Amino acid sequence: MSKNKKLRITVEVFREAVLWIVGGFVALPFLWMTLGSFKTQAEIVRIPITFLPERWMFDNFYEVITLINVTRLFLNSTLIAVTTTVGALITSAMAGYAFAKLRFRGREATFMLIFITMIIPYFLTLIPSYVIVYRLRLINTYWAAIIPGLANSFGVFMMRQFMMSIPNDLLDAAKIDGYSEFRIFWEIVLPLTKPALASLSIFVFMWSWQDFLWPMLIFSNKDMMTLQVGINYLQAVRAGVLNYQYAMAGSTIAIVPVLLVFLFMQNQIIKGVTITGMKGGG
Amino acid sequence: MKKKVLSRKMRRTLTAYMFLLPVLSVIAVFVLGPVAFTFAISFYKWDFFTEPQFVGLSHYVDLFTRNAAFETALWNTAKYTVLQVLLTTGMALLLAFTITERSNVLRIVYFLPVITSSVAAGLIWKYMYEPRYGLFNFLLELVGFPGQPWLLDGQTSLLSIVIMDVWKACGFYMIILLAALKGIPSIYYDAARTDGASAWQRFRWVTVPLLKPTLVFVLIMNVLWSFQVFTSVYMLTQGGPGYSSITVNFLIYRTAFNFYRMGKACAMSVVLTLIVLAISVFQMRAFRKGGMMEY
Repeated sequence: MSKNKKLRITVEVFREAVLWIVGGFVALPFLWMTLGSFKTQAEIVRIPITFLPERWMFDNFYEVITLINVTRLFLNSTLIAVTTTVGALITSAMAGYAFAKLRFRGREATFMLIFITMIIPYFLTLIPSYVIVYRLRLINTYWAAIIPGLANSFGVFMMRQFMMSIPNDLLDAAKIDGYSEFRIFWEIVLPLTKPALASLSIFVFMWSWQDFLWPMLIFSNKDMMTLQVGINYLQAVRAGVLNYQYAMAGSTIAIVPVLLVFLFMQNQIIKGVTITGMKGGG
Repeated sequence: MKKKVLSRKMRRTLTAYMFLLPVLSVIAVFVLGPVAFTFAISFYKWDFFTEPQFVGLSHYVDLFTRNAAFETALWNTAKYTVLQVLLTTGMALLLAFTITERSNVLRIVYFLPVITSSVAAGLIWKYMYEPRYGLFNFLLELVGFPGQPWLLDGQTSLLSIVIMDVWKACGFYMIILLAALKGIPSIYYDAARTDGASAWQRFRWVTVPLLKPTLVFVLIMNVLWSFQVFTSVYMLTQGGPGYSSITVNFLIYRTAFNFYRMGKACAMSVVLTLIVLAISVFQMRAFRKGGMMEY
C-alpha cells in the first residue's frame, strides 16, 4: 500500500517537473524580450551577455514611438481586425444558415465550392488578389485589408455545423407565425448561435490581428500600415546596425495589449479554440 | 397549381442565394477569379508592368528540369512539414496528457505563443538565436555544450525555424487535444475498469480510439498549414543562408514581389496547390481506411 503511494507521489512530482520545465522554456522568450526592451544598443551586443538591464529606462519605447507611429498603427490594426471580424461573422452566419436550414438548387455544389476554398493554398490566389487591389487603386486603403477577409470558408463551415443542431420545429413554428426567412435568421437562429459566433470571432480576430504578408504587400504608407508591418521595420531602421533593442520594445508594445485581452477573457478564448477545433473535427 | 409550386421553389432558391450572396461574391472576386487568373498567367511571361507574353508550358518545364531553387524549396518544405508536425503533435500530446486541472498558470503560459504574432515571435527568436550575444548559445555554453550557428548556417537554419514554430503552435493543439481527452465519457473508463482492464489496456482501447478523430483533424490541419509556411521564414532567415531554409511559399513571394516574375511564381503556386490537394486527399483516404470513429 505504502509502496503504491510512493509510486504515485513520484509520478506526481515527475509530472509537475515536466510541466514546469516546459513552461519555463515556453515563457523564456517573453522574459528575454522584456529585458531586451530596456537595454541599450551597447548592452545588447555586449559579451558576456547581461541578464538584467543596467538601468531600467524607457528610452527604447520613446524611440519606437517616434520611429513608427505606434498609436496610429495600433488603431489601424484594431479597426481592420474588428471590421473584418464583424463582417466575417455576419457573412458566415448568413451562408451557414442557408446551408444548414434552407433547401435550394445547387446546395451541394456551392457547399463543395466553399469546402474546396478552405483547403486550397493561400498563395494560389495571392498574386491575382494583389493585381486586383492594385488595379482598383485600393493599395494603402483599409478596404484592401478588410474585403478579402469577408469570405471566411472556415467560418461558413463552422456555422453550418452549429446551426444544423438547431431543431427544425422551432423554425417551422416561426414560419407558421408568418416570419420571413430573414426574420427567422435574425431573431431566432442568430441568438441561438451566440456561443459559436463568440468562438469564431476570437479566431477571426486573432488571425486578422496577426496577419502579416497581405498587409505588408498592400500597405507602403507609414500611417496606413498595421502594427505587425510596422514593428517589422524596427529591426533595420538605422542602416547597417542591428536594432534588437527597438525590435524588442516594439514587440513588447505589440504583445502587451493582446496579453491583457487574453488574461481578461482567457476562459472564453480557450473555450472558443476548443469549440472551433472540435466543430471542425466533428 | 403546378405553376405555383414551381414558383415557390424558385423563391426558396432565390432566398437561399440572398443569404449566400455576400460570401459568394467575395469568393468570386478574391478566390475563383484569382485561381483562374493564376492558372492562366502561369503560361505567360509577365513582369507586372508590361504586356504578358505567352510562353506555353516553359515555366513548368523549367521548374522540373533546371530550377535548383524550386527543387530545394520543395525538399525544405517537406522536411519542415514532417519535423514540425511530428514535434508539435508530440509536444501537444505530452502536455495534454500531463497537464491537470490545477495547472491554470501553466495553461496560460503554454497558450501565450499562440496569441503572439509571427512577426513579434520572429524578432524575439532572431535575437535569441544570435550566435555571439544570443541567449541560446549562452545557455548551451553554460551547461557545457558548444554554441551553435543557428540561423547563420545551412545545416541548422531550417531546424531553427522548426523549433520556433513548434514553440508557437503546440499550445494551440494542446488545448484542442485536451478538450477531446476531457470529452471522453468517464463511463467508458468505468466500464473498462469493472471488466478488469489494466491502465495500459484502458489507454489502448478507450483513450486511443476515442481521441483519434481529433488527432486526425489536428494532423490534417497542421500538415496543410505547415506546407504553406511563410512568415517565420521571412522573419528569421529570408530563406538563407543560400537556399538552405527556402520554402515554396517564400520562393513564390520572392519570385513575384522581388523579381517580378509573375508567370513563374504563378506556375510554382499551381504546383504547390496540386501537391497540397494530393496530400489532403491521401490523408483523408488513409485515415478513413483506418476507421474515423464518431462519438
